[in-house]
Amino acid sequence: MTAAAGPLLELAGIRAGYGDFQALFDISLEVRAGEIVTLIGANGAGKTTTLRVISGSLRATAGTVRFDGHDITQLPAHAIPERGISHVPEGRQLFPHMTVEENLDLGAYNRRSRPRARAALDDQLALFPRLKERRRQLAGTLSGGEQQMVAIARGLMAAPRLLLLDEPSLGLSPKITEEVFARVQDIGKRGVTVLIVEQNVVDGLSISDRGYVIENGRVVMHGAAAALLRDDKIRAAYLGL
Amino acid sequence: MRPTWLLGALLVVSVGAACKGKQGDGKTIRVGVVTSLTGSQAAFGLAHKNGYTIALNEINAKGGVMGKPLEVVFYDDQSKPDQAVQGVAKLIDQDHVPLILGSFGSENTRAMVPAVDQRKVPLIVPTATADNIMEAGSPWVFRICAGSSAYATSTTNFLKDNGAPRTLALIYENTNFGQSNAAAMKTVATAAGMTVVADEGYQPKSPDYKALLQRVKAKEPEVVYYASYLLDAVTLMRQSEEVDFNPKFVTSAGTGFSAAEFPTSTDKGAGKYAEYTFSVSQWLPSSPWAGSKEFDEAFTKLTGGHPAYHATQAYAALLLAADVLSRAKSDQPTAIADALRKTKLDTAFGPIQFDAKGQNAHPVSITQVQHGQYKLVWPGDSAESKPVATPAWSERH
Amino acid sequence: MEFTLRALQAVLNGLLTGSLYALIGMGMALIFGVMRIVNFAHGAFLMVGMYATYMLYDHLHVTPYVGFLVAAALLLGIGVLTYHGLLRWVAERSHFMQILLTLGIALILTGGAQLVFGADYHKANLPLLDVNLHLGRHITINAPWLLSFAITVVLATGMFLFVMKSRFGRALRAIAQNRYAASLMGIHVVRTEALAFGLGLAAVGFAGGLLLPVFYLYPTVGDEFTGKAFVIVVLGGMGSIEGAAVAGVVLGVIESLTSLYWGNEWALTVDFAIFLGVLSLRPSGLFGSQRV
Repeated sequence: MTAAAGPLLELAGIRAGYGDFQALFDISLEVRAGEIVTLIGANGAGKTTTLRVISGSLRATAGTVRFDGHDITQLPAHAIPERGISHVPEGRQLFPHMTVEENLDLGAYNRRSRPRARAALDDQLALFPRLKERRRQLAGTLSGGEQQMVAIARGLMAAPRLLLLDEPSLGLSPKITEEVFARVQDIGKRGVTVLIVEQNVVDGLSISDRGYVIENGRVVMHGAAAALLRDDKIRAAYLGL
Repeated sequence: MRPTWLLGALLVVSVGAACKGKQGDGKTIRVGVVTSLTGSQAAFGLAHKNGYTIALNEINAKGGVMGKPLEVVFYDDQSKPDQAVQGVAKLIDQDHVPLILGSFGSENTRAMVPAVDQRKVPLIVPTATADNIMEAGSPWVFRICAGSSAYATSTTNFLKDNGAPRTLALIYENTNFGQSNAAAMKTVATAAGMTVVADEGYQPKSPDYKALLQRVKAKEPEVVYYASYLLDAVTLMRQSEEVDFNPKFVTSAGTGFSAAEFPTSTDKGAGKYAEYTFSVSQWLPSSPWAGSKEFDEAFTKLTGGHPAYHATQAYAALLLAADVLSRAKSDQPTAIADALRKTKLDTAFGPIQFDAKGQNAHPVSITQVQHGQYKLVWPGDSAESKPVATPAWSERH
Repeated sequence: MEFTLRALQAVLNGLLTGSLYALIGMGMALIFGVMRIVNFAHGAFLMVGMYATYMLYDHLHVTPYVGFLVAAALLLGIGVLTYHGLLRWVAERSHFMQILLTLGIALILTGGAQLVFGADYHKANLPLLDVNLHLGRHITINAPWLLSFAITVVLATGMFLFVMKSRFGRALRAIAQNRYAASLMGIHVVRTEALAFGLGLAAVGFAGGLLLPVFYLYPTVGDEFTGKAFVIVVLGGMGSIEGAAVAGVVLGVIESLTSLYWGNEWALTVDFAIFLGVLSLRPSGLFGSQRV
């Protein structure tokens, strides 16, 4: 899609875990600017852990994370949004006792995004018209689909160059899921690079350029999204065909 | 992890320090003292300690007891009853003292009674006035100060001699000391024909007693009888002015209202708010007993201020202990208790002799704060000054 | 008439005391709301604030009405240091560890105060204490209480606005509601929590300074306030600072009315009856469970 010199995001030989439990053994992947890339894998394969390592919530025990040519492996979570990475975590993780607007505002908390918070809010409300109606409502009282919209919009408030999306369809009806994915596609069209973790393999891959398959903390396969969708092993393992 | 270790280490250190009870080396005679050196009653505990110290120096200057120097092992009960009991256990079980003096307050002293009774070690009570300390009936407890009934009797007789007011309000802290004194006053005053129009216990150490005082004020008592420690006595008097509470006689069961600091205007006292208040008293520097003046001088030299009766009681208690040990010629608790029962000793605090229940019959007089000083105003034959009915706050300036 | 006026006076007194309770309770609610730690050293820190104000008054003749600002600044600093030195390390541990730690801090502070200042108590006898304002014949207000009340209202309102409206306050609330998401927003959780703990202590610094003129001071003076603050936090809805503000005032008024109509000795009993009642009937507090 673009002709950037190197990849926007590059993971090389990442190992990570929780206490004594090692979740990632060797993760290497890259995301080029403007791409939508999907991580596929079974529950517990290490997809979410990979996103957490990128966003600084979990420190890698080995390997490097490079973003836009800079080593960000050792950066703490709170320093990541300022670099241009937004992480929309699994399960929405909204601030339930704050209004939609307050939630969105916190998305632009970091110093780089703050000056443009006002304009960013208008952008998000235009992108998600439903949220405009609900802007003064407490986030905890919204429906699941609306909450997911808030979570994504909050991530976009930082005007990120890379958006990490963890299971955006989790718990949503097929109709709402479709809508969410349509929005993600829109976001990609606006030039935001997206790395998405999705259990719903067909939906995920069908809006993506490329995909990586993770098993037991290792990348076992990767390729163009369309090619993966046709792959027999993938169809057998993840699509039940 | 670090903070846990720190905390653990601290615990180990403090427990270790607590366990390191000194064993007597046989070169001294030891007695134990429990008093409140820290906590809310520390002002009185320090007065105790000064009294004991003066007595100890006197005793040892005269050659000690049974040819050996007397040694006092202090235990600070932190103004808490459970700590006072701990003190008894520690002094007897670890330091092996055959005689204990203390504590300061009624709450703590009452808690110590079963502990000494169980271990069969005599206890000399210097200052605690609650009647239930003696009513427990322990043969090991000997009290040199007057109890709350004696306080109530003297106050009632004083009132009878001064126009016999009819209505009485009781305001007292909700502790053994306060309840015991209020109950005694209620009994004695009712028997004398007075009506108790308000009976108000309170939570000690509160910042605000105005509602309580308003409530009592509405009953319009002629007399109010307080049983309070110093902190609350000061607050109560200040806030009496605020709510314009004007009984004709502001009387009290001593303690806070008789503390040396109470009528002073330092940061501790009530200053001008203390003026005209009456209090029971067990001793004044001007008391007629031999040694009163000398003790007053020694105390003033040590601390720079005059003693209240609590210090004198501690002083007399240790002199009594030395007398008893000399007569018992033994460090066995039983022999010491026997000697206590046969006591006949003149002290600066007056003569000490115990009745069958272990109580010393000590006379109780009444003082009034006049021009910032405690003046003996009752009984009439020894009075320094005439009692003055308490004027209304609005008439004072 | 007389009856109504007496009740009115009691309510007024309750408001005056309650405003200080509110400030103390708001500090504890802030700490609890953000960190989920019940600060059992709250009263001990109040005591530190009182001693700081007293020392300034006694040695340098600084009035407590200026001194309380210094006490608050001091406690803010102590709070940040305590967080970094101790609390931070138990943030993810069991509640038992946290209770043990804050109780330990309380013991060390109280013991330290006894060593440094002695167990004896002190009072700042300001000339202002002798000033009473009379409203009609029956209503009296003691000037220092009124002044403390006025300052407390300003501080409590300021604290509320700061937490609800400012950028930093929004970050605090974000941590309280979702610590993980807060860090993803770029909020420096550790630094913000340290400041939150500092602010919670600054509230007792303010309160301590304002309490000094109307109360007395000794090393264990704070113990009772820890209990009251805890009651207020539960009553206000665990961790809601506006709930704590209202609960503090309510508690002050209830205590005062209890004292007037039922007797002072019941005040503490009523406190704890309310506490147990709220816990068993409405565990989310009288005013809902909205966190900070």
